[in-house]
Amino acid sequence: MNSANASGQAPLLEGRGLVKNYKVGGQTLEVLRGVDIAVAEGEILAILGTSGCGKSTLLHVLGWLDKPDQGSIVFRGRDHSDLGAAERAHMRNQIMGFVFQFYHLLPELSALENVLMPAMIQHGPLAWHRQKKAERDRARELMAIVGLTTRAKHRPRQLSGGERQRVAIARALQNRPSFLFCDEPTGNLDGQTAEDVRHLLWGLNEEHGQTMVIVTHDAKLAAQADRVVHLVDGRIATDHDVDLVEEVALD
Amino acid sequence: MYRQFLALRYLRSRLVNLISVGGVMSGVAVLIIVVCIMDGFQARVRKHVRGSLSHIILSPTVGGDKLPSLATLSTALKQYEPHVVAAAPQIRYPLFYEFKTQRQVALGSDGFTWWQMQTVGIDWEAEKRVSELADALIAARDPKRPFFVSRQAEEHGKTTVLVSRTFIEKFALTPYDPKTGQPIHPWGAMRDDRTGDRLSDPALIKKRAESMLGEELALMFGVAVRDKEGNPKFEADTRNAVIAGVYDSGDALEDSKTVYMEIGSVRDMLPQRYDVSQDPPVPLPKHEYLQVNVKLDDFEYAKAVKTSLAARIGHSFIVETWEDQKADFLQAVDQEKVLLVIVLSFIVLLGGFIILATLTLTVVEKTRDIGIVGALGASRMGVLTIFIWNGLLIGIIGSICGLGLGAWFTAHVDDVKDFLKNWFNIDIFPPNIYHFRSIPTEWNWPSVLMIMGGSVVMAFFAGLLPAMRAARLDPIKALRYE
Repeated sequence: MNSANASGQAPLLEGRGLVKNYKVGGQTLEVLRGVDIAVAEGEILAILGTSGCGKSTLLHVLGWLDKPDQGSIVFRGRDHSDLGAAERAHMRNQIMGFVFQFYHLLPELSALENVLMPAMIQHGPLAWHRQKKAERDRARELMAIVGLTTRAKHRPRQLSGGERQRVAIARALQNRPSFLFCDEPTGNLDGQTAEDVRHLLWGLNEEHGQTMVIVTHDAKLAAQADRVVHLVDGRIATDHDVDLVEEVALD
Repeated sequence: MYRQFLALRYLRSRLVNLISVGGVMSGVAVLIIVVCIMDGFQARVRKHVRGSLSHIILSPTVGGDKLPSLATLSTALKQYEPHVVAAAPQIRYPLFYEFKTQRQVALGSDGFTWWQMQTVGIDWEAEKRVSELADALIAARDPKRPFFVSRQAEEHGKTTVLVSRTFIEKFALTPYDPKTGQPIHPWGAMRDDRTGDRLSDPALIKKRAESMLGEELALMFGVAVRDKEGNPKFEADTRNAVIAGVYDSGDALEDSKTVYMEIGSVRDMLPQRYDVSQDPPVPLPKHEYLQVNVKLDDFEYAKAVKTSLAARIGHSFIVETWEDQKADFLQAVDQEKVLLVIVLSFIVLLGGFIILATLTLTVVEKTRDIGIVGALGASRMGVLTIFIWNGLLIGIIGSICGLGLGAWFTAHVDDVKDFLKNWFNIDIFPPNIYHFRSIPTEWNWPSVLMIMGGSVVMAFFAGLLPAMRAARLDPIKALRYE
């Protein structure tokens, strides 16, 4: 296991004192109440919590999808809290790969085109013309990694749930992100398929050292991560390496 | 790259976009067709009006005795203005063609009906040099001397006329060559459907001694006299004429009301005036001409020549360009075009509203997609551009389709006219109303490009509102949208 904490390395991404409130019907809903969290390079970090505990919000804030009301995001030692909308969009495109519970593929596009989407967003028309071949090769390679070589031309609705999630994973990896942010990646899949997808994700971590943050309410899935953060009511309850407990839990 | 890519994909995947494209297409096509027809109409009107009117028209304002002779005048004109190429005299005089209507024939009535026309007295050799009448001549025994029928007719002082094809058709006349007995016009023999007779020596103006006319009309033409009871009486100069030739200038309305005669014949028809200060009154010399048509080497100089000639001979002539004479008519045609374009632009505007509606629908439908591309790194500006591109593509494709449809229709407008006529009996372009037998069109690239450009700009603005709505969406909320 690639436990970065154990090696004492500086964290790749850090959230410090993150606070996020939502205004719902005149009332302020405190979703994050000062969360400190760090992600080290090469680790699989699981954020475990019941629904409504703020784990998706934490993921969005860490992934520059949402802005924290307070606190700072530090990436590779630099504070990235007050980036503008366009810069945050650029960071999402370059640094982050998102995998969602409901796959969120674009229905009008083929599987391969979906995978290419982040690259298309990255390049303007001229640059795209130059990069097209390289990006296509990369997408095909990723389709092969997720085991969907033969389904490149299929539309999302022609794919099963597990296949769609594999396409989503391939898409998240297209721009070689520093992080893979997975929001309940197996939440919508049945047992065997969920296990296949988990196997795929963990394989990526092992073979390519892909750093991952996985949000889940599934303790079994979380138990297989390098490190688990329990999020209760917008606060970190426990933060520990799974190495020790893992064996016990598996027993 | 994703902006154009997604815009195109959304356009392709949604059938409703076809409606928008169709809307823009029909608007553009209709505008192109109308502009091309109106331009063609304008161009042909100008050509024909110019053809029959020459470049500059001189109308004398003095009596026949003070008028310079034509030879003197043309020499003077050429001397004053090097742009003057030729000058030709004309005398225009009102005329009635007398005939029996089918009802009058059926009732066995003694009465006649009159068709009001004008006769244009010309000097053929001179006229050839200033107008396009010679080109318009479609049938004559001798195109070099179209008023000549036979020596016999000449000796008898027969009046010979050139009438228009429209006139021949209107009154179902059949001009025959008196020598051979063959019809002189090329499109086959016609019969006088009122009498069933073949007209071997067709009378254009039948002999009638006296005819009653409305007093005002008679006074207007200066021919009113009173009979024994003191009632106004129309004492007309009536004569039978031989159709010597047929012309078709293309302007059906003008043609149906114009016959050409030799200028001498028309001069004979002018009322004789007397100098009453003498006793007995001395007959005044008749006008040698009542109008002089002047041809220039280029119409471009008409305005300048008009000014300079007016300064020199303005004391005895009104100097006008042909555009002055037809100013009201030309302006009416211009006006009509502007009005039609404004009214029909609403079709394009309607296309814009369809784009607005369908794109708004697309944005609502694609809310989740907007969240997804946002999560993948698309900026708000990027999302905005996707939908602006979508609108633009509809505009561009619609315009191009409209261009095709418009071009086809413009090229085949007469086929369409004939089709409507043959299958539905709808005559959309009756020659008696619109002057012309075929619908004139002129392909005008600047106008066409302006119409297309305008539609694309409109599509851009129609897409802007939904696009801004899409850009305002919060990606996180959009992602939760199910």
